[in-house]
Amino acid sequence: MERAFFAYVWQHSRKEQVIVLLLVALSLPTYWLSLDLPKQIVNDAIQGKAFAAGVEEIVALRWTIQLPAFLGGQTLAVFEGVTANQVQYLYLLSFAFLFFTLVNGGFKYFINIRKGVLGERLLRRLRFDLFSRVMRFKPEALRTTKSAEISSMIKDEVEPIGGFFGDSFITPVFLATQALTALLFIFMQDFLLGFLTACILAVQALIIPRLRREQLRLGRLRQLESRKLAGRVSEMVDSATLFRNHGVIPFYAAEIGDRLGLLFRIRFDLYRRKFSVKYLNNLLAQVTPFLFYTLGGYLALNGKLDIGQLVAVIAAYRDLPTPVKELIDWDQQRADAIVKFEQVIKAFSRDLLPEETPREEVQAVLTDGKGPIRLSGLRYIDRRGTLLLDQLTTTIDRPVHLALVGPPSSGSLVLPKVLGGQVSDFTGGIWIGDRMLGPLTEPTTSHISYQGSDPAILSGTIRENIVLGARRGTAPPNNALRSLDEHEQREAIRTGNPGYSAAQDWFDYGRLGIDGPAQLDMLVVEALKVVGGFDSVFLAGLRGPVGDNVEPDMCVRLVDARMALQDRLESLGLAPLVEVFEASRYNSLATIRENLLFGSPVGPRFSEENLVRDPYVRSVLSAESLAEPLVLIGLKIAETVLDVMASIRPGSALLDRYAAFDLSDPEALQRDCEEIRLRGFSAASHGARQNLTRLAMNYVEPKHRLGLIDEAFRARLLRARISFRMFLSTAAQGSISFYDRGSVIPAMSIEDNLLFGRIGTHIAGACERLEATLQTILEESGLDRFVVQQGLGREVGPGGRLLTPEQRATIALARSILVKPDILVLDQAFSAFTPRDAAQIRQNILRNSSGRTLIVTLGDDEPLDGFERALVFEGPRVVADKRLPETEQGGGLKDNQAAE
Amino acid sequence: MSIDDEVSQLQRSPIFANVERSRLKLLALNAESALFSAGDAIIQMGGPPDAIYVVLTGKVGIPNGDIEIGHLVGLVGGLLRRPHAVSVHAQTAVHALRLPISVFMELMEHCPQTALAVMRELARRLNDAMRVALAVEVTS
Repeated sequence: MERAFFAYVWQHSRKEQVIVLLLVALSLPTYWLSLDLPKQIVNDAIQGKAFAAGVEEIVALRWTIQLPAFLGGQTLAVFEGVTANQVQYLYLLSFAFLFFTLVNGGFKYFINIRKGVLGERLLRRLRFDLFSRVMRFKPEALRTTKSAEISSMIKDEVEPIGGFFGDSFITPVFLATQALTALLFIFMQDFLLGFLTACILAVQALIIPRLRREQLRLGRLRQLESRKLAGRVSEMVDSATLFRNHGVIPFYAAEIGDRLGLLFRIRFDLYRRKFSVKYLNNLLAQVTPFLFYTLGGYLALNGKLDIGQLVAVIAAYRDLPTPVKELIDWDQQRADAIVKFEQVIKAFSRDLLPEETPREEVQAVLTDGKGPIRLSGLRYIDRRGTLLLDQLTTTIDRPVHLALVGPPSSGSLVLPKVLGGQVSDFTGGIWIGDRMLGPLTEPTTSHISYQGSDPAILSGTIRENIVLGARRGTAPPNNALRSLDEHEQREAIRTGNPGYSAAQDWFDYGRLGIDGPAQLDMLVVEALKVVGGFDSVFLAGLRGPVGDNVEPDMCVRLVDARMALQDRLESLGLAPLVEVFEASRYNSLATIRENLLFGSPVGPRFSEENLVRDPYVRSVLSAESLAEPLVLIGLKIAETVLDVMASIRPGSALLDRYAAFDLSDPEALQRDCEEIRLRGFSAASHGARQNLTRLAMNYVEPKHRLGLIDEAFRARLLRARISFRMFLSTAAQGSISFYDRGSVIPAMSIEDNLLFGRIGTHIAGACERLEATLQTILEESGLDRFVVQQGLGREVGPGGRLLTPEQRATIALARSILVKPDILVLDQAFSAFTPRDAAQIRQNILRNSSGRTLIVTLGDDEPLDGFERALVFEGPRVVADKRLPETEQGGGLKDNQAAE
Repeated sequence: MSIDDEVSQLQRSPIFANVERSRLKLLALNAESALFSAGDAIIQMGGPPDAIYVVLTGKVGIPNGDIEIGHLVGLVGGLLRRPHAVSVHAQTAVHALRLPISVFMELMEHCPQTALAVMRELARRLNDAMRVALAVEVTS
């Protein structure tokens, strides 16, 4: 594995490593000079050795080259040098020292930069390699892989390896040469000192790695355990509601506690090891100067060593521990990185990957749409050894609408998975045309589309999820939109990353039969209509907030449509069904809160929860002497509700109408009521007053009918509305968008923006009649497309968690329909729907896929309408192969419609 | 009309006359008020039985029998959970209480008095129907 690691590094960074090594070699002479100069400064310039014999001036910085004997042995002067007296000489040498120190620093700078860049490049390559590998995992391997562990490996675990890439060759060479240079230098000054230094170094180099072995073992353990922790935590986060339902959170919390405890113990041991090694290291490093001072000082005093030499030795030694220590660190990192590399590579091993098939080949065969699917001796045994599919040999001529009929757990549910590339460890052969697929070929084509019962939905918008399959399988050819500049592209390619960006337009409009992006939404709508998902998307668009990023001209159109709707309602005599927001009137169908704010809160400040606690709101309310009436309204609501609540069991559908009031803690509410009754409004606590005011804020007279709002109250509230708006600080303006007939309110839905009022739901049939009119207005103003766009732009949440199972299934089906695959395999893809809806959608899809192949699983009792052929399974075998009457007439669109 | 008025109105009806005020209040609290103009269909033949209406004021056209305050519209379909067998129209402006079926069922469970009142009403309708059937038999 160690070889594998260095081979990987060398293979992908050879050139750069060599460059940096050359830089290291170049830096050595200056390093030597920076060590040698201090000696000269002390001995020759300060102590004046060079000027000893009464010499006034010497030639300094003379640089000569002694030619070897065979070239004549002459001395050639490269630089003749300058003459200088002692002070000048001192300056000269000092500045030379400064110069070489700077050059030395410069070398270090360049080497470090190159090294870092090299490491980052390799890291980028490694991460991309790993990611590409996971994407190609066999389906079986993918099912047993914990995604959090994979992402923890790709993100965190390779990070330290990346840091080490740059160091793997350069650092040992760089540091070792530096250390050797320094050591050599010390040797040249005094053999004894050099020898002692070498001994201490040897101790460091031999003992410390041994001590670190245990440290490595612990490190490896820590890595494995952390990875498991990441996997478990993500699994538990996904199942948090499940645990809550069963009340078993403490058990799982205890498990995490155990894991954290284990990690703590490992880390604790690790720390002890680490710092004891460090202690030893420091000790050895400090012993050497001690030797230099005592021994070196003794030698100097006895005249066996001059002071300059001693100073130089000490200076050289000062540089020595660092490289040596770093070298030892490097050794540790090496072991560490290799362990990590080994473990990561093992997790991404080749056994998990299928053989590669060139993608173009498969596509070429499929695109003609005609070659029959031939199955021969297909057999599948699952991991538990159950025979699920046995000796299936048949030819499926294309195009065909084929039903796979059978009870659950029969072969009818396995064949689609085999065809759709969901299992790869089957035996036998599948040919499409004359091209063999499987058992271990890579399923790489968009021409076979598989849809199972558990659709994968990515976070993002509904639209993004539906158009997912409409992208090309290869990089888009359109270079004009290329978003990587040349430099970025070069960088990407040299690290094995794709040389093109995801920001380009990847859609294959040609394959979809459209001209460009404008028509894509139309196709999405068509596909949604086929799978019966259009209405829900439309409603989501209509009822979802308009949002802030609406273009100004769209705002104008929305306001126009609002006016048009009001005029229309007027002319149809439907105006009384809606009570429009008017600044000067109390809207009886809206809550007291809405009437007060006369706007939609943006952010938390004026939210339902915080409103009554807000000091500004409170001051406005007391200024209009509304504080007490509101508490009394709340008191009445609470009394009424508590009164009946006592007689019904919790969780009953009764009192659903009072869901707007927070009744989760009846006892607390009871206490608040008593407090107000006993002590009166003014003496009651803030808490009690606020709780009751909060209840009152949601009160709507025609809905709750407690007879609590009179003319005087309305007038006061209108005054409060005015002062609320008038005295609102500039800082708080962003926390609310006020109702204004002439502008769009971003926090409100399109529907509410158009109605600009509240519906009198107590008037029979109001909603239905308004809906119809609203629909007409939307169509007339062309805003229906905007509504659809808004609906398609809704976020689905991670894994589609914001959607219902039906919506997820609908989106997944629309995704498959959109690309019009040559072969569409639907494997229990309707299980999220009611049987009636499922049948309806199935018929729509059958009608939509005429001329293309459709393979659908059906239960035993489901009708075969619209199918041309049915394979009936019992257990793992086919027991009947029915040709249905439509087949003879070609089974096209017309026939299927006739069958309807 | 506030809840209290609605309760008083219900107390005036023969069906709910014997039910305690607090029980009627529970009924009213759980209902939405529903206003129909003359000619509006309160329930539609073949329509889904999603709610039961209790008439408070106004006239309702029913096949036979008297129109009374507290008359229950959509009761049979609602109890059987079957599409309505008849249409019932408002003859004047009608103010009714609308009880979604789930709420109505819960009410019956919670409140034996109300359930008894509804049973008595059903028995009366059965009785009326039998008398009509007998009369038809006698005349034929």
